[in-house]
Amino acid sequence: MPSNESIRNFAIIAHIDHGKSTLADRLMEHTGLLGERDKKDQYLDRMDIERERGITIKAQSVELTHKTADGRTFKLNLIDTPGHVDFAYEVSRSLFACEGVLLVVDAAQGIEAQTLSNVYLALEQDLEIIPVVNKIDLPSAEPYRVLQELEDSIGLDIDDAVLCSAKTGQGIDDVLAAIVNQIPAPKGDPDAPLQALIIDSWFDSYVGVVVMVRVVQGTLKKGDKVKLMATGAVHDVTRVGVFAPDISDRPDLVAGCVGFVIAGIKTLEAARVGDTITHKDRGADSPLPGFRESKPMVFSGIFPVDNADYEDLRAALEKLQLNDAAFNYEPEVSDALGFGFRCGYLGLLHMEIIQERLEREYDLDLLNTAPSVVYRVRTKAGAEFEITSPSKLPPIGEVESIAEPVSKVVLHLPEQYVGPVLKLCEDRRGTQIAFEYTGPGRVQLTYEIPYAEVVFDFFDKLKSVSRGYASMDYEVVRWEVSDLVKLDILVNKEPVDALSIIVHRDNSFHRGQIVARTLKDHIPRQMFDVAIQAAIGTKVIARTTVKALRKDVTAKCYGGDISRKRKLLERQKEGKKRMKSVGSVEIPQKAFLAVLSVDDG
Amino acid sequence: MSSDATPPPWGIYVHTPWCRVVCPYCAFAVRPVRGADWDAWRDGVLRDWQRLADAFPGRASTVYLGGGTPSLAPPEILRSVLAGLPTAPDAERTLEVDPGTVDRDALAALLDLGIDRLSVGVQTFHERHLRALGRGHDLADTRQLLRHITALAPRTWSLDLMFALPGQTLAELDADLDAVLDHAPPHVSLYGLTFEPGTPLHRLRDRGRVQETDEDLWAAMYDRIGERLGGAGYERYEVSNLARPGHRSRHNEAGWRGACYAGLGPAAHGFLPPTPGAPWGRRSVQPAEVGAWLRAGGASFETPSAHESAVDLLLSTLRHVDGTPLRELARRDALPDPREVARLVDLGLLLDTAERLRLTPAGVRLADGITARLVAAMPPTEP
Repeated sequence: MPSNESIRNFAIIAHIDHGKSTLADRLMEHTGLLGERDKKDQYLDRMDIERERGITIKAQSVELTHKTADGRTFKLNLIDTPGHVDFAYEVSRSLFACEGVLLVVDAAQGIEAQTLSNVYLALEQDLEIIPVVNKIDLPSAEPYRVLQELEDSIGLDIDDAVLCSAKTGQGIDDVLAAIVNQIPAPKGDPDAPLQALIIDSWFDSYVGVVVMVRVVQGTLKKGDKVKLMATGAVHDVTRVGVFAPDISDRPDLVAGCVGFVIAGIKTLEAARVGDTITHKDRGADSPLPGFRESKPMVFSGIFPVDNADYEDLRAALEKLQLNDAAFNYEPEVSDALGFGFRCGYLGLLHMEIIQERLEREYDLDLLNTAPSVVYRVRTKAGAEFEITSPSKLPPIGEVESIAEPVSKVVLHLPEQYVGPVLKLCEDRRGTQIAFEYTGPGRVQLTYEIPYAEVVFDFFDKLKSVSRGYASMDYEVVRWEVSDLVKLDILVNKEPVDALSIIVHRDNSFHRGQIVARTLKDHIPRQMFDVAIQAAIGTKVIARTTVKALRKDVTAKCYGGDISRKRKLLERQKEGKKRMKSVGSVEIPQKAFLAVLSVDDG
Repeated sequence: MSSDATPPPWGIYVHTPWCRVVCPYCAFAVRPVRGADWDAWRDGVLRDWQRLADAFPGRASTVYLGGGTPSLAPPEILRSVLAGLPTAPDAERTLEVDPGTVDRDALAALLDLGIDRLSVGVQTFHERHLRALGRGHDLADTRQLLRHITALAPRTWSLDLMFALPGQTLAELDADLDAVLDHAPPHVSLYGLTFEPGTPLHRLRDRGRVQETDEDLWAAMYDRIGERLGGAGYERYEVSNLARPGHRSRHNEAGWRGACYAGLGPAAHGFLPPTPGAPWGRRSVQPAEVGAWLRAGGASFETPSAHESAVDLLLSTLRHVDGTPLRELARRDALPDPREVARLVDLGLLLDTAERLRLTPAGVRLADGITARLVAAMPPTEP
């Protein structure tokens, strides 16, 4: 039985594309865990979608066995973490299981805003941080400039830094040595009453709920009777073990270990992340502190293009939620789009990933409405509540005030892009909080920007005005009453509820014009004039018309070939399924998509 | 074959695959006449008929020699084709004739074969547009042919007029209409130029070399033709066909109303009478490739379902001034949703009498879209 002394729990913090998963693969190879035949780039990222986007979403863990040159053997637990700010919550959970982190920074690009925020999370938990400058094989690598930047911006001790290339394998042994020598062994008494924190849980169709735990005190063995402290529910532990990298059974997990528990738990709700597992008998007196709960901040409607797919969509959402407790949904009915679901996400990337998985893994054609943030509404009658959809906003006459979430946005960028980035922030109703130089030519900007403005393609715009060099991080810090209005879109006087948005009054005119114009460009001419209006309450602020078709006929003789014409008609009829009827106006799916991704430029 | 009961009238369509040149807008099954083998064509047409003859009772009421350019065929070839097909003594026998393909004697010889209706490929009276269309004739050819027709006076004849040509102005169309009225054809067939995939004209448009007429000008031209010819006593009895009283195309009109016809020659489509196994008739099509057709022929057949038959019926009858008989749709369980019909009536596009659905003058310009809506409003079919 290994003692705590030979265990090292660590995570890797890195910006997207800075080489985290490649480094993880290399560590697995160097410790003999991953042979040539297993080699598949980015082993940790189990889902295709992650592999494609080069990011990691669910926390994963792998146990590596490392023999040092002087003959000692260590168990190195690599806890993988997501790299994106939407998943900060999962990052802090993963970090809880660690005593140290590898901070991987691209030798050519330097540190990015999102990485910094994760570094701060690690510092908050008092973890040992080992700077790892990766990609030193690149011709454009400037490892020493990057190290200097780390020292200047975070005050890290760069004497312990490691230079490596995960791609070529150069310096990987140094990384392993740093893990063993710099990261402390976990504390905890294997003989104390059991306290194991649930870091993650997911549903496996063969074994039921798999729970990932960090054993903080005591020892967890196969066959134990354990109690989930939040609910008091008792379960028999049928299996314990680690990922090496596939599921691998062990007789027990001692204090300091990270591993899995399978105990016949049927639902994810029963194994809540942050809950503490103890023994039924001789249990711990109190649970571990747990985590703050992650709350969806971004909402959008998801509707099947073909109403017949509704049940398939429901089934797909159910399955997705099984392994993503941060994602939630409830039925929603739209006059224009029919039956669908209102879905809540941690952030924009989370939303995109869910939508993409639905389309790809479940082969569903979907319409997604514009993302909305949560608003706090106070009515004149004194009621206060939160709304997640513009359609839930009461008539404007009944509304006393609407408050919106405001986010603190931290931006890192080379100074030559300061001009356009400042303009972008100002255009998005931002208030500057700080403007600092973090190194030669590097600027850190801090802004307060309404979260709704961040959600609305801010990131894409930032990347475009900075040619991809700016990075950002954000968190919602407070709520603020603002002059917000609901902008409705009417097609031949019928409101299209799915196109309603809540906007700041100052932007409403501009926005209404753009939406009306975009719709006009995407609604084909019909047999009658189609009036498109943007309105606030009863006041129309923009209008345009799709003129009636003047010609839709072929003036020639068919030469008897009627079957071709018939087939064409049948295809048109199929195409109509992809249209949504509002009143008698047929609006193609692409019109909705165009409005939802409308460029505000 | 014959029977005591009067069989419903039916026609014969014969396709000629050859033209002097293939026009750059043409998507029909047509080849240059250099490679023509008229003897083989004659044999093939008669072979096609022998294979279909059992399906058709009695004699044909109409024969239509189209193409292609059938007036390029030697008269003796056409004579033996006509002699080999069973036609009623009073049958309408139409021949498509292109300017520049026949002199006065040849035309007289064709009329002697019993041809009583000519369909003349005039297209336009503007030399510039004729050249742009790649037609094999010039204006002098046109004028000469029209003179011969006036002199030889067939029972009736039709003038093919194209419009919505690239760069054509409304004034140029007016000039064409002046010329049409001067020659006073009893019948006018319209062809609003379409850009068919796979044609040189289509490629030219895609490369930006020619421009398609915009919708508003197209509509103005179409309306102008209706007004001017209407004022001169022509009735628009089908979307693209106008006639003076008594001069409608009997062959085409029967087809639009759902009558049967035998399709002979390469790529020819036909419609065979119902049988116990095919209660809504059968569609036939001959091999499109001339070589394959000449060698072996052998039509392929399709048996429409009730729904398909209803769609076919709507497609052809709604374009006709008499409209679509609701009784026939009902027989096929394909009456469109009355709400959709009411919507189209409210929009002023459709007249809904108790017996028929008919397009209003405004609806005629939107006939394709209206047909699509009515088809979409038919009861769903089993997959």
